[in-house]
Amino acid sequence: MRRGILPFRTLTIMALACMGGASALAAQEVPEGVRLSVTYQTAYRPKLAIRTFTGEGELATVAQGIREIINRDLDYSDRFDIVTVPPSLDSGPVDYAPWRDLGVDLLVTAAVERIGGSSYLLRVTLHDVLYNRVSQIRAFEVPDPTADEYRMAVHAVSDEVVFWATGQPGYAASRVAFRRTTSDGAWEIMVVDSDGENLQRVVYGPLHVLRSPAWSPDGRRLAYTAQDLENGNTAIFERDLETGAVRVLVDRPGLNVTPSYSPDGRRLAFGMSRGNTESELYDMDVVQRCCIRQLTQAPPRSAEMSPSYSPDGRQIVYMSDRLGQPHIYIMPADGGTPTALTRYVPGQRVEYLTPEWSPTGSQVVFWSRGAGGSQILIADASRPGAVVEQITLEGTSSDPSWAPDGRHIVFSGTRGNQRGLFVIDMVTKRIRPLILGGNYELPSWSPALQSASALAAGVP
Amino acid sequence: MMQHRAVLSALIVAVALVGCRREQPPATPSPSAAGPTQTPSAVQPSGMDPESAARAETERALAILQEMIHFDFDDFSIRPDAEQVLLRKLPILQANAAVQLRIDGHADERGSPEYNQALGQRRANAARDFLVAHGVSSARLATTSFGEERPLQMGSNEAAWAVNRRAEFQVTAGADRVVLPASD
Repeated sequence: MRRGILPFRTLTIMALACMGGASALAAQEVPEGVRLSVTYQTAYRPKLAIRTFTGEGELATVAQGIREIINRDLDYSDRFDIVTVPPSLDSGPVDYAPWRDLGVDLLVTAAVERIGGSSYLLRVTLHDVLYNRVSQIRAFEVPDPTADEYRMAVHAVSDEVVFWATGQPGYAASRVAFRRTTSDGAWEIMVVDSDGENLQRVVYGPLHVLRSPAWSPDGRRLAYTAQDLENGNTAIFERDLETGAVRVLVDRPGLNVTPSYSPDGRRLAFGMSRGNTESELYDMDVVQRCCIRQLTQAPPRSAEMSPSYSPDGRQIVYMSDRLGQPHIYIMPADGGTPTALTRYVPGQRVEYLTPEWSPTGSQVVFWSRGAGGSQILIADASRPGAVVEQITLEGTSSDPSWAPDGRHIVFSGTRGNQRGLFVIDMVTKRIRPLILGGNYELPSWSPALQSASALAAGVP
Repeated sequence: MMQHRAVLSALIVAVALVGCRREQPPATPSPSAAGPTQTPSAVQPSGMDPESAARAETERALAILQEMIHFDFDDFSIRPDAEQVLLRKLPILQANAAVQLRIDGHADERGSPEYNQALGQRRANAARDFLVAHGVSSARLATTSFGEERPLQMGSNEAAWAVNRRAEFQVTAGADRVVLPASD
């Protein structure tokens, strides 16, 4: 196993950075105005155990499959220390005393029953070992493992358990869209579940360069750009993921790039180059597919692109190189005076690219390209010009995108000789591969796609 | 290793992007509109009929018009060697008013595919601005960018990157007959 993806790797760079001039490494690799923050935080996380899920006869296999998915989801949530269950405690009535002796805070048990021919009832119990009580019991309907909706239904149960235990949203019931280049030179937009399973192709482009997949806020549609290889025109399309229907959103002559939906799903912001201008920001009414408005006016020979809305829809963060190098700016969503979010240091050669506003707060993730390579950074949109936080250090990391929990981030990168998409937890800085493969780029994380409450079978 | 994307993509013409509306191909000008207005002044090779000579001259002129230029890393300024390439195109553009060019910017594979498309656009625009500054009408020069996705040379090394950071010149009108102006 490569060092780069070992969970919870502790780095000592923080200490080096604090030594100031004594650290040649930190001095070389971190631009001015950036603080390294790649150390695993040792904050207390509840110890959680998951007993074998029970089921009569052949249902034991179904129960085992469901448990595997939930166990991994809870691990990937990075909110618990997952404790291995001792065989002596893995069956029979639950007695809290031995669990408490093991230091376990939370215990998950579950049983599977059959309801109807092709679906199951999953009865999940969360035990609060510390307080000697059952915290939650709920039954969920889960389709047959062969059904298309099976994995997402189980992921939704995982998110419900995370919410029971922490009061915070999970992100298991979500997917990541990305662009893949095939070995024979075509382009594809792919979608994969948050745990790296269930890889599916949604768009295939042998004659068009595909880029910039972006989810609608309801998770039902995907916008992307397709460039005609004959004339170079780049248009923005939207695909309905349920029906497969595709419609053109913007196809003015020239380049229409980097689409992003407003949180209410009514508007789409994007970059567009017209005539002799470079890319500038525009938005449109994406429901009526009309009413294109210009939001920014870039100075000659500068480009503005990669817009992303704040969760309240009132501001847009974007990339502009109006000062000569790409930096991150914020402006009102209807256009107006831009504010530089990243600090411009004269003479320093660094690029700040592809910002994305957190779905849950004021944090903005983006990436830098400069002497320290390509790395992921976080800025606080409410503090323009403040020192920003660099959360990756090894390999290369680019094109970050937030998970719906506002805590995990997917990025495209390399770790050792591995290439592909990786997921980092902003709190613990743990990094895991999502899906490995060369030419996997431009990941975009979906909103929460399914809520378990919709699956609750109404049986206590 | 991986084969040339652009060539293959061009070959797989039978398969269209799922659900994507195909753009109209650029209109090809009629031969009369693009016809020569000057007589060829280059010396005709002996033993060649006038038609073959004209064809050979057109091909030599097209080769000069299509010669690509290269750029430094993450940069879109016109290098001195690229200036020489662009200056060679000028007399041909001046002598053939019907010729129109599309300048395609390209980037190497490093960096974001999205930003690289913007970078390629700026390279194309820089080449266009150079020609316009030397008297070519901007109406004859279109630009676009293919970013990093159409490399000339595969590979993750400086040699491949240097080749791939480029602007290409497609003759989109007036290619049927292009004259070489009289040499000085």
